[in-house]
Amino acid sequence: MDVRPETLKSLAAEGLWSRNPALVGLLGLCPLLAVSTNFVNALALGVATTAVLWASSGLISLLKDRIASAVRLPLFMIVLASMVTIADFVMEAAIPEIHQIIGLFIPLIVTNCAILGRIEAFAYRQNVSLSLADGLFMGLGFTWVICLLGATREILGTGGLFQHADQLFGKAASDWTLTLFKDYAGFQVALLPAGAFLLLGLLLALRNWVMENRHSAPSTVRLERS
Amino acid sequence: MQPRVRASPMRFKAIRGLLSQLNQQLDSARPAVQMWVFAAVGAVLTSLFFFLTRPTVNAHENQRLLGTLHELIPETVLTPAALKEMIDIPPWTPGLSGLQIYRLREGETLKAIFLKATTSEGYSGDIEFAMAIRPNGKIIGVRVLRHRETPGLGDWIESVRSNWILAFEGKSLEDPLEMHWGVRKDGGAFDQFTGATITPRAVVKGVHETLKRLKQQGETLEEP
Repeated sequence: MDVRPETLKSLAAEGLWSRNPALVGLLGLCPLLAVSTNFVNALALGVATTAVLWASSGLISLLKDRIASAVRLPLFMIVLASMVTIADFVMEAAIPEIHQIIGLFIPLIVTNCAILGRIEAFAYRQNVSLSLADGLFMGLGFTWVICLLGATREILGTGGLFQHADQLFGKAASDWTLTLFKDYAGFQVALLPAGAFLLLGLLLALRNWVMENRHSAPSTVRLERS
Repeated sequence: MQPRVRASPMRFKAIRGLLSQLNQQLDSARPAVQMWVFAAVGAVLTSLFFFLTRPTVNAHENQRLLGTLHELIPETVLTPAALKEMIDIPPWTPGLSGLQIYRLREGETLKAIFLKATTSEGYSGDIEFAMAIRPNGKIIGVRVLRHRETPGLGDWIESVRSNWILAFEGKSLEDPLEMHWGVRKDGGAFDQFTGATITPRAVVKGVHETLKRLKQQGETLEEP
């Protein structure tokens, strides 16, 4: 059951970069774009998504011999929906202010096809430790993209960063807020849905540019079926 | 000894045949059984977490309710203990439930009525709101406490997202008139949002029904 370091490394590289669910798969765009209005909300949803994906991957991999392939999709959905509901309850109790804001998007984690896709493509076919690793890295891959998007939109939109950090990390974090530009007028578009699309587009362009420069062979974003 | 030895394979064969037949039938039922088991385990797990988190969530909700009261009537600060004294008003119309009122007094005189209620006519389930009313029946203010409406569309009923909910301030059963207690699309006095009519309609109706229910109880004017 032990995982070789190189396997782990390649899983990490796939989840965080080369098969990143948000940047390459372009999956789960609805929560990615809607919740990334600031860093704290983005981080909260990223962590929730990672937790759900990690737990569901492990459970599905553990139970895969007991899952008849004919009904595997409904069974995946039951496991996913249970995990999401539990995450919803825990967040409602632990971080009520943030849950007030992003709570509407928590049930949408179920419909994040990045998660169902990974469970079907990976956890259903691999052993438990590999599936747990894959779930973790895919979740982290989603998390860093949504956090980067959230931070960029927050900086552009308000001129500050880490606002409302106390809602996630407690009172000690109330002075974490950075004001990067004093008397910043605010670039409203960055906070609106249009800004989310524009910034994600720029991020994808940046990723393609990096990939093209790294390998001489051109590599473009491949749209996967969602 | 002889017949016994010959009889037992026969008997075994029969049993084995029966077993394999049973097994085949079980095999075809397996997916259904699996779905039952998964659903049952999922339900048990989620219920467990529901009951584990409920006390904390209720405490947060009470805090939010008190915060809302403070926002509507700034000079009033209540403790969570006061919420235990809220009086249940039995439902009247099917769309409205969970109506609970609290009489704010200054000495002996009634200063305001603070209440919470839930309408079930939202686009995606219940909308819980709080409201403060003067003794003369005029609304001090309404705030939405909890809802599951569409993000970016129906969530405009939240005071942090738009000023829509402030339109109730100063309104009463007499103003606007009964026929105008609705959204503009239905000939009423309240705005709806582009693309979302059901959500504001539910809130307007919920507030209206609450006022009517209170009047029927004689709450806003005098003590029962």
